[in-house]
Amino acid sequence: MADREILREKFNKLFSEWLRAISDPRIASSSRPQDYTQNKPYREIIALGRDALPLIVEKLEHGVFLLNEAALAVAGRDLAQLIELEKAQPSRERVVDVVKKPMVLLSEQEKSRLILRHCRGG
Amino acid sequence: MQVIASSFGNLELIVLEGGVLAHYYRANADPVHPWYRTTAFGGPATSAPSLIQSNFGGRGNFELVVREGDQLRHYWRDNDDPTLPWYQGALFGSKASSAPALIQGSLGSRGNFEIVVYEGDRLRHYWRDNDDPALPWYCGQLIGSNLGGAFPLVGSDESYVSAAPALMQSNFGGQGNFEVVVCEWDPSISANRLRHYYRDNDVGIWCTGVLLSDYIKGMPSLLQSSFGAQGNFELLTMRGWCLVHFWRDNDSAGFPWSEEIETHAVPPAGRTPTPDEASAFQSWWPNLRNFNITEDANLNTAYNCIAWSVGVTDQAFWPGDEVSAFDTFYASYGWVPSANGHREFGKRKIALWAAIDNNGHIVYCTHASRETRDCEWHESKCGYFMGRIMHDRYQMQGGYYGQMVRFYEKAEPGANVDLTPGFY
Repeated sequence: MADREILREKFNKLFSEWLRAISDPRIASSSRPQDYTQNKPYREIIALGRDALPLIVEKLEHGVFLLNEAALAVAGRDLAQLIELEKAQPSRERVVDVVKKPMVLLSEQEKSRLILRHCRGG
Repeated sequence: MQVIASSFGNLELIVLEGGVLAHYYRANADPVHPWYRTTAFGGPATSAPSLIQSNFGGRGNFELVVREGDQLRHYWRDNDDPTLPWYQGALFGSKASSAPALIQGSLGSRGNFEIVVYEGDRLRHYWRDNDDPALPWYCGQLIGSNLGGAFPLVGSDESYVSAAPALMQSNFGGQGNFEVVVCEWDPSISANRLRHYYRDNDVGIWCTGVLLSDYIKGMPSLLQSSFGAQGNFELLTMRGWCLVHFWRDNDSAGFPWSEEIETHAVPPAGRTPTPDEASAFQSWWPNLRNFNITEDANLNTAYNCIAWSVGVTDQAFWPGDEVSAFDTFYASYGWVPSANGHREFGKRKIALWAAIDNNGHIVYCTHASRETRDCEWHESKCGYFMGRIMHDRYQMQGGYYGQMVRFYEKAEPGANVDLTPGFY
């Protein structure tokens, strides 16, 4: 089995374990993204490293914005950096209006869009 | 009308029936608890009566005071006589303009009868010296000013009946103070508020207490409970069209009053939860009783409670863990900090919830709920996966979301229309 397939299998297993972990009502009733990241499968997804970034990006593309933190962690970025990168884009090419919106006003989906634009492929 | 529990083991009720008084009782020893009407007496009475059981006689007589014209009439029932006759007592006082409130206090050896009753827009105190064999009634001090409280009894032909003030004797002071709560007209809102008065029985002076709440539209009912070390004051009345429970924390400095809605005159939106749903939600929020499902679980996982609180259902927001981050977030949607979470006419409120540590400090914000319907119905999107519920705001306390720590408000014409002048 190729390394990539082994990684995908490992990732899918951890992703399933994470879904199980966050079905705990104490987590599932929470709107606070951090509550979804403080568990073993999530940490193990991050521990897969930069090679797992394409797999995480796939999930972000399907709307799993709760993996935003994992994407930033494996890409070695933080949101403030992405906002600066986005500000540097011509205004008509920005995917999120980061000039008008401070970070506290960004939705989780908008954060995903910034990650997809600036972290995809490293 | 007034109901008391008597030494007969029954509930006793006196009602005004076309100007005469009628006695009913509920036979509590009978497993079906039937109500019986015994007799009609007295009249012409012109208010609701106030009924107590006193310590006169071996069994404790029933004592009743009712307005007769602009005076007060005393009646009593001899509970030691097997025929249980009612007797007409003294007619006393003048200018009475409401139903009276009667108690037997602890002043004197036997305990005097104490009454407060409206006299125009003030309150008059009367008492009967129960140690004097002639049992004379005395006119006491005139209390307060600008008092409201003339509530027509909706649906009744006794439209002239107006509400009594609430009177009790507390355990404050060496002798036990008299505590009165009454409606007070506030011209700035053209509506009644609640005013507390108390008589310091160690010095015999009536004192003015705090003014609280607004748009009070029912007579107050007051008692001192066994909650807390001193025993809190508990008060029920109507605010707008909802029954509201007020209580005074008698163990805290300044004796703060709190308020919590008890009945919702408007039903919640959504569907009734299934037994499984009700059981699950109550295991997460143990105080939750009144709630409906307004969106099923897993139907829309794209938004969360914060998004819902500003009316967004296709995005999720989490401004941060600090209250200040939420201030910024809500300001961008036109919501400004509110002095409290109580419902107001023409406004909707958002409650911000947080986990609190043992020292009462905010650890981090957890949740937001928005008032989406009159009578304190808040609506919460529960995380991403558990759907949305419409719930009693207070009943979500004590569960996963901790406590309400901050409120925001925004204008919404027509919201809480019952909290407007003249609305009954």
